[in-house]
Amino acid sequence: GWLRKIFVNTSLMKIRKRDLLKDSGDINDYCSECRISENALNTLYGKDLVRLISSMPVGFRTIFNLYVIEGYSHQEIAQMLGINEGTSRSQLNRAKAWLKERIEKLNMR
Amino acid sequence: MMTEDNEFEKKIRELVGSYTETPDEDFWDTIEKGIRAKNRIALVKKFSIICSAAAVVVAGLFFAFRSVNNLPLNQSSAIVRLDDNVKNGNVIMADAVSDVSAVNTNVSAVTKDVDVNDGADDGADVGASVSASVKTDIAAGAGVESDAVDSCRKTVGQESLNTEDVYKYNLYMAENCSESSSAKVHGGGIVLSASGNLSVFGASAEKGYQGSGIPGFSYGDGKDVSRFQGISPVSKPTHSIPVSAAIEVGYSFLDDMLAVGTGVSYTYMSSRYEAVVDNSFQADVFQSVHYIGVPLLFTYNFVRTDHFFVYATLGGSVEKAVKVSYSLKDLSNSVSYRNGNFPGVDCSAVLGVGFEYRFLKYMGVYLNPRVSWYFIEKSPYSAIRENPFQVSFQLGLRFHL
Repeated sequence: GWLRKIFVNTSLMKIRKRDLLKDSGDINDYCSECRISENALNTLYGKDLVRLISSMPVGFRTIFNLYVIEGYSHQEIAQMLGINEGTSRSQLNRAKAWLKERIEKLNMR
Repeated sequence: MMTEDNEFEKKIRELVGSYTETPDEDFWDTIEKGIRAKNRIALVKKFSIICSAAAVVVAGLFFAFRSVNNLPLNQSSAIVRLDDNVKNGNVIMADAVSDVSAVNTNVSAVTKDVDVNDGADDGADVGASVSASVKTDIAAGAGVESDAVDSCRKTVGQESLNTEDVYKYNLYMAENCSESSSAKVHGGGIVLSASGNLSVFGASAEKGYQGSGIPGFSYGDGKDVSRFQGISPVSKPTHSIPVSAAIEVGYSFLDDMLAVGTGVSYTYMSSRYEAVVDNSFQADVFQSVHYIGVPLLFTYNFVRTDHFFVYATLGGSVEKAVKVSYSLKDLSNSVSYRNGNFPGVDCSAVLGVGFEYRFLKYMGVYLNPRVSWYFIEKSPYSAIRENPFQVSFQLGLRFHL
């Protein structure tokens, strides 16, 4: 637990220092048209998913990990990273769209 | 839509949560190596700072010494050298003397020829001025050569007032004093040096380890040395590389062949380990030990050129752990501190080879690889206690007064 916390906090500090989340777009339901087939999700392996998440752009990945994997709220993420909540929401939507697109591509192969 | 999104997130969370990956066997080793490399860099930085500080202190002492003794750097020695002109009947008058150091026999400032075959009256006048000039310069030449020149002057006497006497005086100086003076350029002298010392063996932490648990754990040579301040190690310690700085004063004699030196040294050692404290709780311990030592070293100089010297060093040192500090972090991450003084002193024997490059007449940089053996009786548990045989590199500046 403590080791994980150290890793997370150290990574966040680094991200904050490098200002990788500067993109503060409006809240935009970027993925409103984005669909993913049930089959694509069911045939997905954990290893492939982790690989896909690892290859996400760092801004997307940070928000995605904190929200989806770690379970933080947008308010908490905004505080942690020094951004506004809108940015956190839009980055998450973009991240999800990005991931869905990649999963579908993977499924089609 | 929201539900679909939630389903997606839930599925992702499940997949990631159920995924496990076994790290490579050398995963932690790689991390630890990285940390150690960083620590080493920090240590080298610290070492450089200590060296620089010591060098600044010694440089300050050096210049203070020179100003107290009123010795301008470019006239630190006075050598009068008479060349063949003397034999040819010309008397060389030295008006000024400069640029002579303990290793450099260059002599300049020969400015005026005087024909000794001039008339008697003129000769007497010239003789008087030449004698005075020579004596003045000799007198100005304080330092290591003055004894030799003084003895020459006494032998010759100071009453030379005519041309013939002047000629004899200078001839005598040329044949006897100049040679001895130039030999004395290598002669005895006081040497001030500042150095930093980096030991090669630091983080061995393996020798003699017997992790037999609590109670009855035992480390190093099995003596219960680690129970100082109620702290008993229960894990393999990691010792950092010992770092030390020293200021030494030496005196060389027998034409710079031999030298003896002493001074003050400071050594810092640190270690990390887990320990049981007061038989009641377990803690991560960071231990730092500060030593003050007095070395006594004999040096034999076996290669000497104008700028480069190679020498062997033999000697010993007496050291005392003047302060031992412990930082104890218990399992709830609260930190407490303890300090103490260790009784008694430790001795060590030193053998080494040194290389000195004298880039200025009065200043040189030296590197002194050496091996030491510590005869440890009362020292706290540390790198030298675990490994009494230490190889170290001493780097420093040396000032020749």
